[in-house]
Amino acid sequence: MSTLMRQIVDKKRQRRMALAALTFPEKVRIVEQMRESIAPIKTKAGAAGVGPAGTQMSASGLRPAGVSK
Amino acid sequence: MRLALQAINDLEREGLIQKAAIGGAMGATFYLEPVSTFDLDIFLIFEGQPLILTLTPIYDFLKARGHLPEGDAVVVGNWPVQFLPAETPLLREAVMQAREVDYEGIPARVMSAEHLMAIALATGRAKDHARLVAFVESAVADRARLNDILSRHGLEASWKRFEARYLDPQ
Repeated sequence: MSTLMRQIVDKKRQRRMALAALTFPEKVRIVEQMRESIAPIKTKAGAAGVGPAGTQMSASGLRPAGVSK
Repeated sequence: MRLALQAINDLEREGLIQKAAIGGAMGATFYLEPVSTFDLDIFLIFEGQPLILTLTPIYDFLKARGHLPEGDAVVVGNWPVQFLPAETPLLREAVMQAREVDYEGIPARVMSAEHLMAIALATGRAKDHARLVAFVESAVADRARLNDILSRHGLEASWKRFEARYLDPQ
């Protein structure tokens, strides 16, 4: 793994750890915000006949499964 | 979330369920980074051993309080709550040994990290394996406790396969 890739991976890990360290209510609020932002995408995907979007998306920035860029 | 947790406590107080615990993605979120999910998985143990397991009394109780069913969940506040009977010995143990937490003044129970890992392993979908990897990387679990659970519930071979595939894939 290149130095640059290692730095990126380390930064992502640090961000995940920082998110994990939040209190449960803070995390729940983030999940609620993610849900609200994904709901329209899910509806669009359903209408387009491409099936439901995945029900999980990481708070560190991954797209939900089934939703293309 | 407060409303949903209050409703679950009401179900216990009214004797409709013996014990409940948060599992699934929200259970994992207690220990890990927040993971988007559309519902709140609540695993239940019922009073006594009913001959026929039915969620109808729970649905009726919640409906009378204005919480209506939608698909396979009941919407309480802004959360679809999915009630899942803890039917296997592993799920029952996970509910019985769930840790007590305080959610903004509301008492709640969340399955232990070790039980969530064992359940994810037993369930075995791709997203369960991804969750397991996140648990392992976070090092939040007590390894001795996890090994004990895996051993007692016949999951050691599954764990070895998971390790070989995801943690040591040389």
